[in-house]
Amino acid sequence: MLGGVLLYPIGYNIWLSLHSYNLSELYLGEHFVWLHNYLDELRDPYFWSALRNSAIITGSCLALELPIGMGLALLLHRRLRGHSVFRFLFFLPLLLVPAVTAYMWRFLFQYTGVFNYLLQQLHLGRVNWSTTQAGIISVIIVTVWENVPFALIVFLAGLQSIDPELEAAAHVDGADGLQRFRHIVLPLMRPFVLIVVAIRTMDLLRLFDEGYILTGGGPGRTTETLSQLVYTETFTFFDVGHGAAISILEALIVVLATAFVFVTLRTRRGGWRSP
Amino acid sequence: MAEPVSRSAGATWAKAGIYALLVIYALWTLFPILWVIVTSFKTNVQALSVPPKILFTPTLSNYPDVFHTVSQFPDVIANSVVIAALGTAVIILLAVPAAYGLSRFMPIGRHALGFGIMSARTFPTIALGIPLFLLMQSAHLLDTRMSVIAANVAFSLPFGIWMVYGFVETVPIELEEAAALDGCSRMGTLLRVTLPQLLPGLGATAILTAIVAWREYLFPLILTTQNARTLPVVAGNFITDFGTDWGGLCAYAVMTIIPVAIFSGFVGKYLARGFLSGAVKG
Repeated sequence: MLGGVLLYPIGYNIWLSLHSYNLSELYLGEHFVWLHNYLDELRDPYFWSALRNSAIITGSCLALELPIGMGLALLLHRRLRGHSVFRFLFFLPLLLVPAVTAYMWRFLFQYTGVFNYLLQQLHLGRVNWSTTQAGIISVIIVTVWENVPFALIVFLAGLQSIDPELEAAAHVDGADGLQRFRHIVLPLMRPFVLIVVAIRTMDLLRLFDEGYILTGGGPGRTTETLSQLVYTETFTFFDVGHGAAISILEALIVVLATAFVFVTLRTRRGGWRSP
Repeated sequence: MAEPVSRSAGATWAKAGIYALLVIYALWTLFPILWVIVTSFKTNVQALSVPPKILFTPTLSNYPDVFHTVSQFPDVIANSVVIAALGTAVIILLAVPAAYGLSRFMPIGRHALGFGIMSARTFPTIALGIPLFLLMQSAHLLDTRMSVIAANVAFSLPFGIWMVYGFVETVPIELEEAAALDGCSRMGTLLRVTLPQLLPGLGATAILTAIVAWREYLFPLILTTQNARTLPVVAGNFITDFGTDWGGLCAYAVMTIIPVAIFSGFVGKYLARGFLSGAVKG
């Protein structure tokens, strides 16, 4: 049954990637072209630019989401008065529809918009958010804003699973806060960090909504992510064969990256710990 | 971290510092949302004026205007609701027998299954979008609710089976053996003994898959043009060649945020639990 719903489209996609097939030139029909579509893509500067953009976005977002999520989780875990109000506020972005969030931020990032106004008040000057560099930074800002709550949820659950007596014992033994975090909390949190990194790597590498809505790949096609490149090839140029080939390459990249995450971050003794 | 309570001055300062950090991040989280709510009551001239107007005469016209900018707006809402609800029903109907069968007749273990599901999850949405677009085109199903539901089911079913599998595993097999001894058929056991135990788990799974469908942007973007458009897709209507209707866009955003906020108020606890059982229990 699983085969029917998922494997059939995947198989069909692989079949497409091995054919020359363009919806705007249907009279040419479909021919089997071996791996030509793949070889074309590996020579295509747009592919490498999209791969670089996706890699930059994935790396930067992980580098921001993990420490912010962990920091907020540690603060909330102290259960000071009002912590549940903060928890509710922090979760809000995750509840919004990503496409709507992206449009919201597109408004905030207008040249005469409020974000630039605040930057100006801080004497940082206005930023033209439609350049290549600023465009990618805007995608990173929005994605981080939206997804910090995911890391926060998982890390909070992780902290709750740690036996408080372990920390209390270390406290008695004279370990300061940083030492306790480094030697007790962090090792026990490893499976939770692994889950967040794995899931976020997958989602970030295939990021589409935020990039498509915020920058539209522009200026030119310099800020396209991998998924946007597939979309452009397939639904703007109607080149299904090449689009399918990039999407398969993208899937391979995601699988390899996820496997890499699992191999490097897996708990030393192996195996998982249930919360 | 469980700090032993101390009444020293240092502890008070630490507390103040923690509150300061929490408030700063809360402002960062809330500000964009609040600003969009405020802008939804502004005219388009006020929306981007420099410096931004804090005090202004509010207008309510952006809200009824959403119904003009987005043709058949009520239908669009209905599409989003129906697609999320029907897709979730299909996923639950398929996931229960699949998870039950896997658990009782092919005990490959949650780890192996989890790995399989994870590799399915790594498949980018867009890589499913291309074949599904062509399949729906040849079946003349483009721009129908059916096509988007099928795409969502294909994407979320593995995850649904994985979650339900975890809940099936928690139902003691002895319970079923006892029912069988009492002369209950296999089907009867599933329906009368196992299913009632699964209900809370199925609720969590249903909520999560419904949310995934509600948020989905790429599938309806590819598969629909007019009749089956969903809420996330029509946001683009406010941006035209003649300029952008920011007030309208903000009003539209507020209208989509409110139902989600209410819904999550009701199911918040399930949500967190579902996320965790789905994401963390390996």
